[in-house]
Amino acid sequence: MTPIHKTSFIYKNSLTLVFLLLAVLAIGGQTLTGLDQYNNFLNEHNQTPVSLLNYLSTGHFIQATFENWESEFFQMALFVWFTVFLRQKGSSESKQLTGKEEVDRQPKKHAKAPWPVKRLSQNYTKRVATENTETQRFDFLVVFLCALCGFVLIVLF
Amino acid sequence: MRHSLKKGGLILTLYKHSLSISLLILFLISFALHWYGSNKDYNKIQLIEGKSTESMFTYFSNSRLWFESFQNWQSEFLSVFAIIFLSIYLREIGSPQSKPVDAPHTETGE
Repeated sequence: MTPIHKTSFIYKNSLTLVFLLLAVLAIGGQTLTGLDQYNNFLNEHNQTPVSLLNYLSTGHFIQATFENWESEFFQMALFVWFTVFLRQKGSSESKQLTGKEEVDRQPKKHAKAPWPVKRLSQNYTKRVATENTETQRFDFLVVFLCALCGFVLIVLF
Repeated sequence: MRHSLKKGGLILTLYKHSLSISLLILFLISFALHWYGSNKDYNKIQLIEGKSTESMFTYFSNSRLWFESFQNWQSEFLSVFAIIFLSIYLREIGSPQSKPVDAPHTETGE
C-alpha cells in the first residue's frame, strides 16, 4: 500500500471524498435497482419499459430520491438549530450545560475571517455583545412545535 | 463501568469501540427486520396478484430490497457529506455543529 502524505489533497479531504463516493455509489445502486423495479411494473401492465436516461425523469425516481433528501436536510437543519439551545447532559453532541462556548461568540473582524465578517463595521461587536441568541431561539422553538402539531392535526382530520 | 475500566484487557478494548460496535449491531438488526418486512410485504402482494412468493434467501437478490436500501443509504451519506462540507464555509451562531462565526475556512476541528 502506498503511503498517503498528510499534505496531499486526498488526505486533506478524505472525509468528504469518502462520503461523497459512498453517496454516489448508493445513488447509482438506487437508480439501477429502481429502474429494474419500475420496468418490472411496466412489463406486468403491458407498457413499454423506459431507458436509464428516461427513468431519471420519472416520478418513481424523483419521488424516491427527494423523499429521502427532504428528510435528511430536515433532520440535519433541526439538529444544527436545536443544539444551539437544547442540552443533553453527558453527550458529546451537546454544548455544556452552563457558560458560553466558542461557537456562541459574536464575530470579530480579523484578516482570515470569512468575508461577511470582514465587511462588518467597527462598532458591530459592541452593539451585538448584549444579544442573547439562545433565549430568542427557544421562544421560536415553542412556536415551531405548535405549528408542527397544528399541521399534523390538520392533515389527520 | 468503573470495574470494566480497571480490569482492562478484552473488556476495555471492547469498551473503546462500544459506540461503533453498538451502532453496527443496530444496523444489522434493522437490516434483518427490513429484509423480513420487505419480503413479507412483497409476498403478500404477490399472493393477492396470484403470483409466486419468494423465500428470504431468494428475496435477497430481488431489486426491490436493494432499491429500498439504496434509497435510504444514499441520502444518509449525502447528509453526512453535506454537513462536513458545508461546515467548512457556512456558520450557525451558537451551534456546536458549527465553527465560530469568525473562524477562518481553513480552521479544522470543533
